[in-house]
Amino acid sequence: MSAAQTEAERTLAALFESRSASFTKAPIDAARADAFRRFAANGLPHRRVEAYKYTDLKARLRRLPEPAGPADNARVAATLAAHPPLQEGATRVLIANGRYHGAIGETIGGIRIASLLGEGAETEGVGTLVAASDDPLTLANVGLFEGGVSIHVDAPSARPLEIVHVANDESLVMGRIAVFVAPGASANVVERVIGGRDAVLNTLAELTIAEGARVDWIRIADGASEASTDLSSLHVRVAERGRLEHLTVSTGLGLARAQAFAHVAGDEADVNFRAATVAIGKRHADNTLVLRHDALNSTSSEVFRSAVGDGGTAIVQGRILVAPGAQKTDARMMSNALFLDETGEVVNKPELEIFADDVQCGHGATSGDLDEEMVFYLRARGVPEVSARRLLAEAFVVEALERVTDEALQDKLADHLRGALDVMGGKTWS
Amino acid sequence: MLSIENLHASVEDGESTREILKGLDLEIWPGEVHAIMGPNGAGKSTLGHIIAGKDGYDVTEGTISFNDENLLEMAPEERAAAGIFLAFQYPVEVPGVATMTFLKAALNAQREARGEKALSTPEFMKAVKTAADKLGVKQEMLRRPINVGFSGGEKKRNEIMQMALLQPKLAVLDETDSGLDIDALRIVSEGVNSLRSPERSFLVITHYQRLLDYIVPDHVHVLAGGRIVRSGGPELAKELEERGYAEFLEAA
Ligand SMILES: Nc1ncnc2c1ncn2[C@@H]1O[C@H](COP(=O)(O)OP(=O)(O)O)[C@@H](O)[C@H]1O
Ligand SMILES: [Mg+2]
Repeated sequence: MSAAQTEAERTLAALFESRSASFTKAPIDAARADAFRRFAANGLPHRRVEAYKYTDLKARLRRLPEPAGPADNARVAATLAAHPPLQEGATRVLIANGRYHGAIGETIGGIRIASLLGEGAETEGVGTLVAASDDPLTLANVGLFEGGVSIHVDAPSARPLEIVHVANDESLVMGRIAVFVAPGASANVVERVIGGRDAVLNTLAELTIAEGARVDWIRIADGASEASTDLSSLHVRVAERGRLEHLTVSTGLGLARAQAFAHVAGDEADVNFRAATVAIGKRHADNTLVLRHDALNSTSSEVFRSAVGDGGTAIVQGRILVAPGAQKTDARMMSNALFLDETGEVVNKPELEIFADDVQCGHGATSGDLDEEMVFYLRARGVPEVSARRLLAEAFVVEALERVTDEALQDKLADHLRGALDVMGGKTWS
Repeated sequence: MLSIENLHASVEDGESTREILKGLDLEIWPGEVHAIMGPNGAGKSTLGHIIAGKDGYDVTEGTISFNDENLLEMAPEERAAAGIFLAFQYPVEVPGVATMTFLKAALNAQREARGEKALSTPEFMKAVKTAADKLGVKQEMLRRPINVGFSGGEKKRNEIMQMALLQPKLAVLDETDSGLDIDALRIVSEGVNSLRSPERSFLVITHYQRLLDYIVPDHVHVLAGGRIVRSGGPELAKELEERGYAEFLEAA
């Protein structure tokens, strides 16, 4: 690294040194050195790196907490018990301090779950989707991850999965996930982080959606404290007639950057991204999407809804690339931000790069206050002003949940978002 | 019940200020139905908005009292709880807020403000069903976000359904007839007529006489140039229908 290396970058370099001692000859380990070298060449991304212009990680993460060791079983069990799964009957896949906690090579209801490292590890195909990535967070995880899971879904699965990340307070954690959904199969995933005050997570997920497969994936980034950092990168490849329904729910405190790199590789695929963000107070919520259409007759849509107030920041960067030959692509992106008071900050940066001529693409972005005509309509019927504004703000963010098909889950997420808006208290609603 | 004296109101129109109401007087007693007619742009909706408490109008002179309270000092929600209801000329679409959720919030907020007990869910459902059935508002519409995707006529019916549910003391109906076909007009008028009572008053704003065949008013006023320029009985509406507003425009 250069002379301007920060303490955080030195921590990462030292971590690589110590972890590399135990690297095996397995391909997954072989990729680490190259990835870390590429990460280290530029270090943590800063504001002069275009994709990180609004989320300067070099400045925000001057120093990092200590890497966590293996998690304490009793504490993990207590944490889990305190937070039941969001979906009834969900199979929980636990990643504690970055390491898979579960039986080795477990098979539950047509879903095969294995560790990425150690005894019984299953790593075939892992790394394929990130091999060409130059995203620094992705490279750091590929170089440094301490463990994780591979999940194979081979059939239409009725049972939902809940991937839970648990991290020690004030620790550095880099868990990794690889999910393979076989042709015609379907998976229904909720991914969430529980606890981890002041922890820094840099999570990587690879999702392979085969022909005709369908995945519903909801990621909940609910920051536990002002100093907590939740960085996540999802790399997804969608084959012919594949379908992805993705939703990010971003609430709480601290720094969150949810990245998705989506590759529409097969014809007639359909991918939909939604994001509901409540950024109130000491919250910097970044949703960054890079979507590449490489096939015929595919559709994609994005709706980002962000409510900001009390100094909170919401960043939405969405880049859609339509490759030459990706004819009949239909791609639509919309980002709407709502100011809850005068102190929030919003960046909307939609980009379209279109190299095919027979396509339908569009994007739009708005940011503004609540519509006073709507506020008056509710008040004229007797709803007090504070409640009227509150109801409208809730409706604004909750609309991003429109594609959640499980109604009970949709209700819970809506309640969660309402709770996040509670943080404004009485003080700024009026 | 409602007493308006010498009401002057203006709006900011770009750089300049424009006076819209220029000394309007109106007195409505309990149980009365008053109609206000007038040409487009006369200030009819402005009057309705000011009664309901909408921002953006500057009342520079005059008073409005409602059951001896100074209406102009009350917030819109306080006016609603006191019994004022405005059926909007252009009902607003509110995406994301289910009509049912909204009605419950509105009804119970009004009850709370009046010191009454909130309705239980079954009581509320029953009250809504009664009002909705009366106005031919389908249950499916109640589950949809407020007015979103409703036709013009459906929106108007939805307004009167809300009135039937909220049971106000004074209802201001702002061009409720516009956008209604003849069947809907009949349904809406029946909804209004069934609510007529010795305690409840109506201010029916309309551009056309047609509505007043169904909702027969006690008094008819002509609003032109920001003032009530003529008042009379139901026959005045017929006269206006024949002669138009031209003479009042000149007078104004
Ligand atoms: N907020 C406003 N800003 C500027 N002009 C307004 C505003 N509201 C109403 N006006 C003007 O005031 C006049 C009266 O409007 P309105 O009360 O809607 O008339 P009516 O309902 O009788 O057709 C019109 O000329 C209209 O353009
Ligand atoms: Mg009008």
